[in-house]
Amino acid sequence: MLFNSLSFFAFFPVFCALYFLTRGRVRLWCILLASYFFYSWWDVRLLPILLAMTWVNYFLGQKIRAAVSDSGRRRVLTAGVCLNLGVLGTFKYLGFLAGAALAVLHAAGLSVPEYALRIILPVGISFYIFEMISYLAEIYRGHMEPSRDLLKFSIFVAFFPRLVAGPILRPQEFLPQLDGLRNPRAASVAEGLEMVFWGFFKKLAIADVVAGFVDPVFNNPFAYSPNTLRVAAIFYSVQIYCDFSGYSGIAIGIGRMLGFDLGRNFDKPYFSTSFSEFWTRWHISLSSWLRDYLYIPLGGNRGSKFATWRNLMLTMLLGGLWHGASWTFVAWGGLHGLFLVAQRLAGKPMERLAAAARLPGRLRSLAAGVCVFSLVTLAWIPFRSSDFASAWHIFRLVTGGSAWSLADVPNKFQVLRDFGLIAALFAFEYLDLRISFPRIFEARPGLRPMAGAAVLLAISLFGVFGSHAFIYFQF
Amino acid sequence: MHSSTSSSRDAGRGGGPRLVLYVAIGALLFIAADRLFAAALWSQVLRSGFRYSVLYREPVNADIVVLGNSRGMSLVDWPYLERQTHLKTFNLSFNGLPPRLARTLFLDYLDRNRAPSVLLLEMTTVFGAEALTGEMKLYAQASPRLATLIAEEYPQLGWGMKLSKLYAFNGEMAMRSLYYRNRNDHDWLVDGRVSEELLRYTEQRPVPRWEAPDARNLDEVAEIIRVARERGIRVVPVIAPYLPAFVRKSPNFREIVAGLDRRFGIPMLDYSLAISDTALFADRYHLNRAGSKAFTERLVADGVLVSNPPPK
Repeated sequence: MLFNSLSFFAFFPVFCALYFLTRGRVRLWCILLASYFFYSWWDVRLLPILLAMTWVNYFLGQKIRAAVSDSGRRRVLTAGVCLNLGVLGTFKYLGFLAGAALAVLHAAGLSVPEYALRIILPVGISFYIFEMISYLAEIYRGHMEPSRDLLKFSIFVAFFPRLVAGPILRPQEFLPQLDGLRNPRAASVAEGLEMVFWGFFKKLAIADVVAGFVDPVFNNPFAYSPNTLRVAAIFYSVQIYCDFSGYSGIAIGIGRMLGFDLGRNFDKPYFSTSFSEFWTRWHISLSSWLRDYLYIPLGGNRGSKFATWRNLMLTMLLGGLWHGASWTFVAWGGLHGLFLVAQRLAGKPMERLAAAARLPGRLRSLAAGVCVFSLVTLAWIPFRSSDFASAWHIFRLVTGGSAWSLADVPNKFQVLRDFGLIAALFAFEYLDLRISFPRIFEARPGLRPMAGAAVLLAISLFGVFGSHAFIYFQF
Repeated sequence: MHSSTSSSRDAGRGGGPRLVLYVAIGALLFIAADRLFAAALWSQVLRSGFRYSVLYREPVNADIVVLGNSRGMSLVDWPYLERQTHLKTFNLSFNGLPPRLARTLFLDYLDRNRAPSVLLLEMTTVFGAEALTGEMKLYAQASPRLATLIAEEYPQLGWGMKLSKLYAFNGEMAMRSLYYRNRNDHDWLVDGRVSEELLRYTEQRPVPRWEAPDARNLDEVAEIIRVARERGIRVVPVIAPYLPAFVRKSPNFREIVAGLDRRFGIPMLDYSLAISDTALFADRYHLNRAGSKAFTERLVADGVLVSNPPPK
């Protein structure tokens, strides 16, 4: 069930009515059953996997706690992590690995019968598996007690607003919120409603709008001019941001309306002036997960320079692979790994150079921001492309020396409107960075209805209402 | 937009009525602003020189009507054709115009104008999809026929337009009509020139087979031809030029054209290979500005469009 579908607009009011009419464990059951209903809407065959993984991890958590020795706890944790990754690998990567193995065998001249593994990918599996791994890891580290309530643990895994595309929840932050569940404050509902509106604006009036230009170009990049590819690359950069941050905003906003704090998943990432800053602002729940459960356990930046670079590269390559079984995702992760390493190498000399040139701070920030956005945009090219041949073609033409112009770009009206919308979004985000709209709304609550009406008007005028799936649902 | 708070749950309920009040005020503001902006925009749309604003505002009474998809738009250089033939021309074509919408627009044209002497029909319109029909919601309030078509093709659009009047202005048509607010769109042709990359790509890669046109699309075009003939309009079915390699390498293009001949009982004027200079194309499907002019000259030279004597 998509947030931007009629079925969700029928589902959510019914759920809210039940939620606010019930109390205590009945309310918890209401959340859980609604979450399973929401999940089953895609394909009811996926539900048993979710249920099985919930029960197994619930009992593994207790086993870790019950183990008497540290080695015993470690064994259970290792078994749990392997099981979770094994399930994720089976559903997400088996076909990819088999294909890669076949390619190697073919390259070696061995005759192997061709076959393709077609395994259905359960929606949201990458997200809930990571949540369960963090649950087991936090119990092992002694940061939390295992849940003794299967109902609450099941809600932690299946809570519908963020089940299919995050944000990835931390158990020690979410599970306590289920204790003594009370009605949210009106201010919390208002904030949640604003986040939902803003999320829909980003999704319907920007991401889905620019998708109308991006999709045909990326689907057949050989048929377009360098300038069209440049526009498509920039638009995709904005599309994926608005699509995913829009989804996250709606998910977090719905959580807020129900009285839950689901954290924060995006924080104006395209205003970053370094790649390390970018990764503290982009898909925060995944980047912090990778930091806490992969980068730091690998040694983080505590070892030699080379060890730090290796850890960065490994973390980003695996981060890329997390998105899906494709070398194009690995290339995307690899590029970000290289950017982070390059930043460590060149960051200080560049700063010294800028200081020597006496560049004003704002100009320096602007140049750094443009540089980060440009390189992040280039890295999205393999991420969006269907194969390396297409990605390389786009990359070559986009970075080639041909003159920049809109003259040979098709659908100029659409392009100009889309640039206008993007400029408005960034202007709004910049203003929010400077003056903080939530604080203004808190001080002048009378502005809230006007802001809400303005966002709705913008959605009416620019929105695309085709129930387009969110990009991150496929991961 | 928001920073996360440590806890958003609270037993307090004091803000509830205020929240309901804010939601109600927001809804009222939305409804009022929506109606107000929609009315203001509609008055601007009707003043536009954009082809459909003109169609639904005032009689045109053209001698030649051009009908087709984006290839129909670049089929002729409209001002040049008028200068050459001294025949008033009106181009009803639009990017991706599907046959059913083409028929609706043509019937609306006939309702509001005297019948033209020639209908220049770009025949690859038969491959159109319905995607554009929803865009025409902007003009639904001016044409009951168009409103019926949209209601049939996209029932949910009608629902959306009841909820928000501004929604009718959501799309390319509104932008175009506002862009052409103080001038006409007669010189709207494709600029630019097909890239070397695309030329190489077309030469090197195989061209996929053409899908046979949808039977309903063929019926719609047949209906346009029937109505035109009934009104005494000379129908000129044209296939505009394609980038030559694109047609030459097509495994079944000739077969498709022959199928159209048979279906409509009139021979197509197949100009698909009429222009060999690739500099006259914007891409594989469309002539550019210079190409449209060259092709207009060709149509005039071939006597397809009969010239009037220059006015005295």
